Amino acid sequence: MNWSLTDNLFGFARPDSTGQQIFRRAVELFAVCSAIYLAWTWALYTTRLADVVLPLGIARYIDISFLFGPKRAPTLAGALTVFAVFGFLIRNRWAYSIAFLLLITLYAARFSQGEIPHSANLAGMALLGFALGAAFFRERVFADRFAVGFSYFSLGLAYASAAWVKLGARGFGWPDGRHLWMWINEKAVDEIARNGFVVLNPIQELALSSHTVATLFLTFGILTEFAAPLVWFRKPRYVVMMLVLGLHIGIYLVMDIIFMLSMVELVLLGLPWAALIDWAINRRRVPGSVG
Amino acid sequence: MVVYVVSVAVNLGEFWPFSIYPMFSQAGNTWHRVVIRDVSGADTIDWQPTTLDDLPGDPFGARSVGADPIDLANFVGKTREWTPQRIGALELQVFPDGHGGRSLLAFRVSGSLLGDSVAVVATPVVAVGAVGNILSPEFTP
Repeated sequence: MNWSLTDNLFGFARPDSTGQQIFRRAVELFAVCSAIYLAWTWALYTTRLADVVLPLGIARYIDISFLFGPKRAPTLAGALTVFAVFGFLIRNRWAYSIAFLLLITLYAARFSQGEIPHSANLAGMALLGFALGAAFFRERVFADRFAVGFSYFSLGLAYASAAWVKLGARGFGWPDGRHLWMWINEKAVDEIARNGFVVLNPIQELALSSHTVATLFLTFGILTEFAAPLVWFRKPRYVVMMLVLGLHIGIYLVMDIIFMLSMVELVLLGLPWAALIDWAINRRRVPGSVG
Repeated sequence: MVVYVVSVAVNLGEFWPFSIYPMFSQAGNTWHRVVIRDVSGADTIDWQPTTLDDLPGDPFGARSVGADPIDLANFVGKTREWTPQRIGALELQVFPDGHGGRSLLAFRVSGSLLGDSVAVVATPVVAVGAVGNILSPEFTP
């Protein structure tokens, strides 16, 4: 097995291919579209806020309430849109960095109400990867390879850190099925708050009826998180990515929590798209082949 | 990596998109959420804690006014001092276009492990809308 992290993550010395170019461009498009979508979603919600409950990130150092009101947050989202599109169409050294800083600011304003969600962290990391790549690499192929490798690195680090924090907080008793019962009840109350009523699905009923099943669900979850750093290496990467995707599908079914952007990114990074595209291109070039 | 560690270390584990991902780490701890009920037309407000099955009034979904229930849960749960500004901010979230004669009552809902079951209690905190902005005696300084 090749244990070189630099080669496994970035593969700077490896030969390039059309499939890899298309794949990297697709990841970049995902990062740009996600950033624009998040910026506008957060900005429009911020227009209805009036008070800071919990200052997060940069809001600990500046009074983020200056963005409350009808115009300022949408103006920032508009500026972000310009910089992100500019960075995608005409590569510029700092366009993505500025877009990233604007996105951080909008995040701090939107989530000043006490909620600390992680649903957009992977998408944020993807944009940061392209920002750092453009800032530090002159040649685009190296910049983009760095960006994609950075996404794999941050993904492995994120899930592993989540697992270690759980273990640190609760020790080996963390996967106790009763803890899942607590979360199912908690999310059921959220559903009542959201829609006025709640209907539990069969998987939630199953988890609530069996301590063993609930414990197995949590055990699968934490083991998958611990295994996440294996995505830093090419060989086990796609299997582990599918396990992480399975973890998110499980979280959705059991707790009704869906991280849509993270799931899209997992599908994008979790399948060998570059090799599949190259295979399809080569197949078309073979005389007499179908398709 | 160094930037990551420094960013989260000086920001309580969170400096988006850097995070130590503490979500779900506090397994088994008591949780607090919020449920809002439509109590339009009620003559008086009963401030006694109750269960989810015995909530007064009619169901109210935060989605119907474009509000995020988790935001509301944190807003209600993490507010220590209910100033008129804070109550007004809550009113703006649930009545973005004015109350239109309606009254809403926000309950702080708490869940805790009792042996092999989860006990859930709903405590009224604040009423907003046509009834006036009224804070529960329990939370009034």
